[in-house]
Amino acid sequence: MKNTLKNLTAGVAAFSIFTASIVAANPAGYIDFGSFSPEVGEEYVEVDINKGLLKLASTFAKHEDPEVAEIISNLERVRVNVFGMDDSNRTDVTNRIETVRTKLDEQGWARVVTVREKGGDNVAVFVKQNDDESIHGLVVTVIGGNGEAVLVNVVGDVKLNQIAKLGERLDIDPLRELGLEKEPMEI
Amino acid sequence: MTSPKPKPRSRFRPLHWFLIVGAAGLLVMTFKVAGIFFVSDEARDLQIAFADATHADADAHIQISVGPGLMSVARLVPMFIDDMPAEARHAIAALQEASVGIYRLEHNHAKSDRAALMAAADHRLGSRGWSRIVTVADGRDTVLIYTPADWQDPDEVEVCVAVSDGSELVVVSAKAKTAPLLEIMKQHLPDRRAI
Repeated sequence: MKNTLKNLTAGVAAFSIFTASIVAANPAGYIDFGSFSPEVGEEYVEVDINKGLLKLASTFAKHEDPEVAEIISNLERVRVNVFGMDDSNRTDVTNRIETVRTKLDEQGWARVVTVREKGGDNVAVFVKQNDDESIHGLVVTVIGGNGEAVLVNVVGDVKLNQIAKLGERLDIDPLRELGLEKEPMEI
Repeated sequence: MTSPKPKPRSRFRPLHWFLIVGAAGLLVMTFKVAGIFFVSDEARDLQIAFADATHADADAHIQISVGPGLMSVARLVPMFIDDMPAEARHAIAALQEASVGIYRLEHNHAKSDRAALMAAADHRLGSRGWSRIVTVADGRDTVLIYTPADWQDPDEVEVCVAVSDGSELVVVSAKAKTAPLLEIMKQHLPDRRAI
């Protein structure tokens, strides 16, 4: 009996440590886009800002816009990928982005914006809801009509009414135009 | 009764000690001066990664480093210049260490494997605890920016940058205090709190 209890305790402790390490490594609002290897000649931009740098950005932003500085200080990570598309890679990039969108749907992310312009942009914005007033993370996927595709993942606790402000600061057009303010219920 | 034995005289007189210390100081200075002409370990790793990925020799045109000692001396310079712009004073105050390397790549970068380049650079800098935060690739141009992965100190920033157009490579690494950089930024931003 003593040995059983000991083994059970060790097992629970090991499972807890394992789970905690998984959670710490991948916060709720994070999505793995996979790795990219741009070919020579292709246009490609990747930005991956961790918490330490975001804190620094928040310090610099305090003077210019204290509200945005506070939003940024609550973020865990910001990752942006921009791909130039041409005839040689358009299908691959489009399939890659559709795969990310399917993955988000399967993992319970809420699709809050869908835009399909004929010959123009194909946009989908997803959020990972935390509670009624905040989100754990946000993903913007754009297959642009201008020959560019964009993936953005913002990880961290953000209030719904701060998302547009964040888009303005990070220069992300679909977020800038997003209004997700919680409307008060009229009784 | 025997007289006490005389105390043996030291082999080293004060003049000898002075010469030994002087020679040691000169040796240290020589290494310091020689070190100016080498880049930092991180910058060197980036240069090697580029050279390996392009299967080329990186012919060094310029390699120069400035460490904390020399920067301490440089910070004395503004004391003797009356009209130095505030940005220059803050920039000198901010910079702790820096190294710059400019190299000519003898083979055409366009024929290299960009994925291999990024993997090699990530591996080399990753083994030093650095992670890539920015990648820009456009045509033959490549820009990679790295910072320490576990960096949490908001008072100091370290960065390592590599820029290549396929035929030339520039590698810069620097460590700076953020407070003076913030002062520079404040001078160039409108104060919205006054509105």
